[in-house]
Amino acid sequence: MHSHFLYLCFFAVAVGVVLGAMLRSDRREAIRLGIYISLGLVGTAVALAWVMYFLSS
Amino acid sequence: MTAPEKWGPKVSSPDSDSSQSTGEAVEASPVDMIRVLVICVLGWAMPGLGHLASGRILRGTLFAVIILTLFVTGIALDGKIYEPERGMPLSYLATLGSAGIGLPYMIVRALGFGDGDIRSGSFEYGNTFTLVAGLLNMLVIFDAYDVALGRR
Repeated sequence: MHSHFLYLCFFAVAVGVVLGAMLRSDRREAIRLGIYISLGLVGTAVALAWVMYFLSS
Repeated sequence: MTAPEKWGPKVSSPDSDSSQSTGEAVEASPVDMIRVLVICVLGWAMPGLGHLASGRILRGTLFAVIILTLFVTGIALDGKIYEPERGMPLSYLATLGSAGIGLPYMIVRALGFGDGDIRSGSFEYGNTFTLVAGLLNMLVIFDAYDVALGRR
């Protein structure tokens, strides 16, 4: 099964967890930053996808 | 001069080093630098190993699991492991990034995986996963360097 969105979510979570753990020493802040990065990556990709959808049509 | 902690979490404590309180760079002895170099090489060879060697067990384990999972998933998604290609300068940069993951890169190449399947729908995802796994490990090595020097 190929789900582009699932690949995107997995990638975003992986990058978010690593960067969050690396850039913040406090565990709570690391989790918060990881969530922000993950949601930011997914949100940006979805927003760009809609922009490209309207541009193509 | 006291002997440095062998595999302790920090080279020097902030209390004993007045230069840290003034914001100056931390100076490490040659022995410390060898230890830092070994930690960086370990961190390159296997993701998270540098942190584990510095005593950061949880963080090292987390890095190892996430980065190796990203790399293996990239291979499973028919992604390729970049190799230098004559006449394609960007392939050298991509190879540098992919090889940032260290031994797994060499093991996958030695086992004959990582050629990728361009006909697969997930080919580009796989490429991105393997490449980003190597790049993330490079960042992790820099973090292990800071940890080994006692900056974090």
